[in-house]
Amino acid sequence: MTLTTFFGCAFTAYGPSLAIFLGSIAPNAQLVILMVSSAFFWLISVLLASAIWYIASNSRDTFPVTIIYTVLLQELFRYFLYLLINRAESGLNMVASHPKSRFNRSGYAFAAGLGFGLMFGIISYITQLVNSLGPGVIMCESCKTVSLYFISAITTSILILHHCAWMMISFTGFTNRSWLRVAWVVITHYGASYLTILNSSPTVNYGCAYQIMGNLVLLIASAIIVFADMRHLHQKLS
Amino acid sequence: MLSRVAITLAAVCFLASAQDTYDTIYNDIGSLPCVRLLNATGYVGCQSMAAASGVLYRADTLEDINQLANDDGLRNKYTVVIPYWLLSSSNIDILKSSKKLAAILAVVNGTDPAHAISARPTTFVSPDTTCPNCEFGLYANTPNQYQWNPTGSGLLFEQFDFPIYALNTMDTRNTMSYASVMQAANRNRDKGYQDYPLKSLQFHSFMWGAQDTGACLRKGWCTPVGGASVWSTPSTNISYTDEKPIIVVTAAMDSRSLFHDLTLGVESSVAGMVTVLAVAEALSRSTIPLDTMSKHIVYTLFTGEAWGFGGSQRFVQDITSSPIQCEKPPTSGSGCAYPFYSDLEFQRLNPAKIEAILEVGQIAGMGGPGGNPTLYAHVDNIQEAASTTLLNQVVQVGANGSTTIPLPSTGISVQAASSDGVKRGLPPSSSMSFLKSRGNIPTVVLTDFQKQMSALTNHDQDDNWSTPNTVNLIQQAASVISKTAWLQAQGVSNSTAMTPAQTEAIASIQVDAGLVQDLLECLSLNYSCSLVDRYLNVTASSIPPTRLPHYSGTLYSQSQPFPIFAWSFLANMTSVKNLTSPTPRVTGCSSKAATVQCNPKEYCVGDQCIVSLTRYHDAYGVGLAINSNAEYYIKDASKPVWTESTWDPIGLRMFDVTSPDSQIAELMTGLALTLISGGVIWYSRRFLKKTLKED
Repeated sequence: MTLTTFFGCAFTAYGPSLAIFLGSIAPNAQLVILMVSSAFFWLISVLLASAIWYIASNSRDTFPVTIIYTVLLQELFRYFLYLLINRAESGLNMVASHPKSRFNRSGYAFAAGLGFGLMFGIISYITQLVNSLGPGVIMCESCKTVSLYFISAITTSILILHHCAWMMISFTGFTNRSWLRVAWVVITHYGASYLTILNSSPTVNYGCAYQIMGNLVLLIASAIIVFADMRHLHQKLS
Repeated sequence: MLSRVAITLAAVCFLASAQDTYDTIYNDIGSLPCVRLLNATGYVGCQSMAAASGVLYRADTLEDINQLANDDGLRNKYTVVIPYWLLSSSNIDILKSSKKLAAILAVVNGTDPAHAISARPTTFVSPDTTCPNCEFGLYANTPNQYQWNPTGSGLLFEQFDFPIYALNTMDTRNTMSYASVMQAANRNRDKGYQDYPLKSLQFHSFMWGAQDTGACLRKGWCTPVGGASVWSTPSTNISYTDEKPIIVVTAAMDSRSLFHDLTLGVESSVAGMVTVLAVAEALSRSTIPLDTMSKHIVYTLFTGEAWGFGGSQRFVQDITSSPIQCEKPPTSGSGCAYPFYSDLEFQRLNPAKIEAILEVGQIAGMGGPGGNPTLYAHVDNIQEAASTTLLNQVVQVGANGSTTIPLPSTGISVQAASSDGVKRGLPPSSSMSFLKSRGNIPTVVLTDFQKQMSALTNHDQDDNWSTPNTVNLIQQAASVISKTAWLQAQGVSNSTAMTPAQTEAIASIQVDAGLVQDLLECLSLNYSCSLVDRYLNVTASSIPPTRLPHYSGTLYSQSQPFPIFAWSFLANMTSVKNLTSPTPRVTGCSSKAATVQCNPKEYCVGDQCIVSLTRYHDAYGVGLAINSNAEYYIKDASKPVWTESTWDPIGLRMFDVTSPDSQIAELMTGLALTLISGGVIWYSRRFLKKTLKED
């Protein structure tokens, strides 16, 4: 087990997002700072969620209930982040490399989304990754032939990318007062979270396959919306 | 999303803590390891540098082992579970050369049909050498030494660089381990060892000692093998200069085997130890008190005998070098700090006065050629004239139908071992240590074999002693030895010419068969018995000990239950009986310790204050010594210097593994995803640059 699985899972979970980070965010210091700040915002939302989880000791084991308030808190802090970036936007634009570009806001949204995503990825997956260094493995409950580490790695990878998409869609939604977009983000966030319950479900056969396919479909749908928005932005002002 | 964290952990457990995650992936199993021991020239035993882990593979027969070796479809490393009797050099070589071996689990006693007693082969071999400890014995320098264990495989002296552990069902914890392992191995077998995930077992078996004793002692990575011998005498006023001869009755207390936790040694040593204890009890009934006789009787029980006669050689070395000049007195208690002795009373014994040695060797009657049980008396064949009188007396006492010396009717006769005309000399025994110092001491060693030792010598599987044979053999041997010792101590050469008082006294010496049975059970099967409880409060402890191993252990590092019991029992049996004074002994010194206290010269044994000359004596290889800084070093590398390596906590854990192919697939997937993403990013940056004409 050990090293092969460890590197396999690490590359699967964090490879795509780190490639994106290195390729598009890292060269731009401003975006890096934004990314770290948004990661911090996500961390606070999860802190509050875990406080609630700790207090609500009776419902600790019921995932559906936990998901309700966790996702809610994350969306709330997404809104707070939007407010913060909104206030700071003029200043950010002044020192941006292309101050007059209309895509700046999208860039900030993208960096913020990656921040949310990477922090989520670290917090939720790092324990399993470290465990995968050892010789033992946990098998996925619903797909008994694949290790849980690998399934979680794929899920983490998809969800990190999804966080980028959500942030961009929601920023567009907040800016243009398009509540449909905001609703889309909240609903698909809940959808993706509840889908992951299929991983550990002992009754649904191949639950992990359904979960991955479901999440991929949602990711593609969100990506289509993002591209549509970008295209619209590009066409509107040209 | 905390949900992800919660789901992850809840897939395995319901509390968010790292230890619980560990507990669900890994199942820790109790273990009985084979460890590494070192001597002057190298090392023996098992070790593994890195944690060895392998898929559980069940091999019940030699065909299964060959099948594993030849199956090309199995490409992983395997932990092979075999019955103990398949553990032989050749089988291990087959497994090693297949390059599929991670570790071996040997089932010494199991409930599965393949491991049950009925599945054992009828012939088995001793894992010891063909002549145990003969390189340190009396005949070490004679050519063509008689090989007393010709079928010995020498497995105990081989080196293994992979872990070998044992499975047994002797108590609850070990039974649970056995059940877990067998369940997992059966699951693997049902899946054909190809249908992953499979159960795997990992061993932590790192031994610090390396090279040989000298190297590892210098680095502090090993400890001498040994413990405490016990000697006792009813003559509480014995002194070096009292000019009275000494009769020594002796036996060994320890044995060795591949798995030290399983060392039982009923055949190798326990039966002999029980005999000496029974002799002490029988002789204590003599109506002529033993401390009034013209000669002394000294009982000695030696530890470390399996390791080059460590206990007896050191005892002989010490009593022949008195008086001891103690340069640094101890900070507390008795003995001497430098040169180190834990007790100095042995100086009262004068080795030049030893007039006879009666030793009890292997007499359990197990694992031999069968037939009617018989006791054989062996004598040295180099100076055999010295022992003739003693031998004749032993045989005469043991002959059935003697009216002056009644014996229990066990139907077991005593014969001279050379009755078939072949003079083989002494089998490996503690007496050799005395004879190496002075070769003309009359010596007789009683055993149940004439020509070769039992195949159970130093085996892990001699966990059966058969009633009534073993009990009868011990009873007969104890009767013969106690009466011979008594006759010797009285100076009686012609047993028909005894005084009435002597005849009455010798008739009073009766070996208690019930005591023999109790001792056998307590010392081999269940230490928490009423007999031991009378001396040592064992049943009151939280986990009462049951079957304790007879491996001598490492020096001063752990408690030694058998020497402690031997000390207590012998102290009681040789204690001064106030036959003249009517006042009974002071009792309650341990049950009511606050109010009742013994005099400084008395010991509290069995809740009574007694006076007794019973002492411990350090037992470890006589080639080792302790310097003024309390460190061990090799004084003489040609003498036994056995040490045991120190080891990290031994661990055994069980878990699932995925196939090596799927692990490679995971790695390839990850690399592919990363590279594809990198490519997509690079391409989209170029695309964006082109379409937007800006970065």
